[in-house]
Amino acid sequence: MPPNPLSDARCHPPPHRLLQWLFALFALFLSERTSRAHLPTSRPTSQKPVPSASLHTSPTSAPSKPRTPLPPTPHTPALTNPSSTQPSIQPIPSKLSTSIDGQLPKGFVLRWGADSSGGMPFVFYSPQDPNQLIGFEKEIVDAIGKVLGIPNRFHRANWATLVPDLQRNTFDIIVNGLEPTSDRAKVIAFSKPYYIFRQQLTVRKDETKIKTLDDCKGRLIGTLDNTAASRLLESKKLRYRGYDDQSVAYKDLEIGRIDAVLLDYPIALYFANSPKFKPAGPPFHRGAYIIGMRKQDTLLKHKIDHAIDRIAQDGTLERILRKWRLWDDIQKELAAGTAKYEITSLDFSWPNAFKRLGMAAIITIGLAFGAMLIAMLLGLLVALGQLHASASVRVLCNIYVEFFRGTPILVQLLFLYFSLPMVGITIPNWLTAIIGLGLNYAAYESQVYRTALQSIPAGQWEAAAVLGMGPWLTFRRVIFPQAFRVALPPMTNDFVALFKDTSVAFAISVWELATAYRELASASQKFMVLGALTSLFYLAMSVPLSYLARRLEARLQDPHPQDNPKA
Amino acid sequence: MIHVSGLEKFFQGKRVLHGLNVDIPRGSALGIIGGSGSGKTTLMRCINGLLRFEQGQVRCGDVDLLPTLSEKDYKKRLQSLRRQVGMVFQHLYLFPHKTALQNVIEAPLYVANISRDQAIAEGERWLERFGIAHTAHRRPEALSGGEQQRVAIIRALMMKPKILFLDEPTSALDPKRSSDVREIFNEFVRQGSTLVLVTHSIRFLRGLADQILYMESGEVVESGSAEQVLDAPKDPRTRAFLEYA
Repeated sequence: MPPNPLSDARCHPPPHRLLQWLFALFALFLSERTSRAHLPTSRPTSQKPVPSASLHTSPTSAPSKPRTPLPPTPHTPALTNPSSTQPSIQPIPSKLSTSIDGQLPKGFVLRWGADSSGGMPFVFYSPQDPNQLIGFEKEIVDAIGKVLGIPNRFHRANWATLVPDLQRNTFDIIVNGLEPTSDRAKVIAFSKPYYIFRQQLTVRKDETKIKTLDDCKGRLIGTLDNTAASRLLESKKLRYRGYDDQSVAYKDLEIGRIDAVLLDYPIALYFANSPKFKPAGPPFHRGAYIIGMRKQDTLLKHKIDHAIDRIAQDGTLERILRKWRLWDDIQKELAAGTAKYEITSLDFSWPNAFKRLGMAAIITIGLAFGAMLIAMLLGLLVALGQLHASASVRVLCNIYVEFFRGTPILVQLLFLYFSLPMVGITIPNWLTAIIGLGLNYAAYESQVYRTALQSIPAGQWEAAAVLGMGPWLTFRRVIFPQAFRVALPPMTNDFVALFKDTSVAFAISVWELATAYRELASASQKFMVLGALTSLFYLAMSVPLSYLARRLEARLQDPHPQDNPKA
Repeated sequence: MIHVSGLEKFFQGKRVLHGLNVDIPRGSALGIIGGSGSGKTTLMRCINGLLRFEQGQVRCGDVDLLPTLSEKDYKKRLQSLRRQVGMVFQHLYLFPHKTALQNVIEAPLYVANISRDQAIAEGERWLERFGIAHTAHRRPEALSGGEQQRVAIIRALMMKPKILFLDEPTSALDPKRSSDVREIFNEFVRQGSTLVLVTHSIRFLRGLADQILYMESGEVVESGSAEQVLDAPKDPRTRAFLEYA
């Protein structure tokens, strides 16, 4: 046998590498468990139980030592109150929040993190001037900084990872429509609320049936994942689709993929501001936006709460909220200090998480197999087009390959998602994902098949020809089986890659494995254990696949196939 | 059975066959000899339709091949040509993904459409006759060069061609095997079939070829009966070649 020109050593990771990796994961998992086990004993019993998840971002710190403040960086000296020797989370009595018993370090810059993409009206870059950051939260941060006499600096972040970023000391506070939840309370400290929000249900202009949330039974509602709205829908057992981006949710409402959108009033105010939509009833179900901080930064919390009180009482907050059309009578409670709101929680349980990951894994399998089927069939056609078709078809095939290989799959998927309904095709998200992935991978497959077909010597065609075999029969019986043998290793490679690439389907809200991980982890803050679990799910699918492919390969190359002469 | 006149073949503007004339009667064997690059194989490929040529004409079996034919007409004529001729390549081109038996029954099954049982029975009989029955369920890579060569010959014979082209058919066979195979070809010719073989093995040609054609640089230097050309060559170039053979 000539050496297989396409075989790629990378598709067979040596077993010891895999083991090493698994071992590392396992070690991480163990360290997390031990640190949890150690924590309660290392603290005075009078204290509140310490959140376990708060250690997730610093797995290297010795578990038995009491928590030390994060090491100061040149720009940000430690924020822990120097007078407080107990580095713990003492609930601060509200009376204290107006008194100042410490000084922020000299030269301190308040670094605040938020997700500015699609952040209207919270924090976003002005459409008129893309360098200009605007939004009511931006103005609130400025007002707080003014009260405290400190400058501030904005850090662009990703909504899903705001909390871990905060813990990693990327910035000092989160100001991004963050709602207090019991899960987050375990990991970070909350400031006083700076805005009381309510939920707004939005429907299409021509909708007649949906007037309240209860009318949505049996309909599909869109919302952002891991928000007060999604938790409300979950608790009401209503069918919903969790989006990553609110503009996509409203776009889907417009084209009829979903029947209503439930989101915070400020979002609805700016994103549903179109004659195509109308509100279904008044806003309801209140919640609060708070600023998130590290638990050990007690002095900072002090200062921030003080500043919020100040801007609420001196009318600055009202002026800002009025400017952004967000002011209503409920907000008066902020100044009065009587604001009541609920701390919601997502019911996180391991069996539930396991179940959701399992279902997401099944969807991932479906996506991967469906897309690979399309990729193989289309890829073969494109390869044949490139090799044997007329010049014009060949050019078309080349353009296809260059286009799909040369542009990001995420862009292709989004393009497909938005453009199909415009030409009157409405198909489910998962089908869009399969087609999108299939089209993309067909470009790669075609090149695998083209080289595989070209690697078959011309003599094979001649040998079949002199036996009287026509071109199609020759291709089917002689060329294809040999090319398949050559193409199998790179194909396996591509399939494993495709398995992982299914994660881009999150962009169009398909609940596959990576999406499930993001959602579960950002809701529970258990990034590491869930990450390990998710990786195991992926491995549980890809390792058997590689194994089967290798078996098949060996069988195809066995010089002594003890089968009957079935051709 | 085969009639070639004025055959000229060009490769990239370079003439490699210079107006050849060849006649091979039915039921006879023609041996083509000559040094490497003398055009033996090219001539054979032009006759059996694997190569198109620029000048002259070829009649092979009852099919006329002309350079003036359109691609479509040419392909149509090739179809009927393929039913009459077989070929064994110098490099064999066995199907590497099929066992020896699968190799030889492929065309009978899918081109001649005979039944699987009959094809297998026939294939096994041939393998037996060539002394390689034990290779039936092995793929070519597990076969010796001589075994592979015999499988390739059987693959061609299974289609019962009226004309058989052989390009160095016995290069990998030992003298005993070579002699056995020659006997099979002799029988093939006695039954009225026609054989064209290109070879370096003068020894193999003796007692098989009726006519010999000696080529050099795309030209026929000498042709005649086997005895005459091999034992009393007229042209000094033929003589020189045979001295080394």
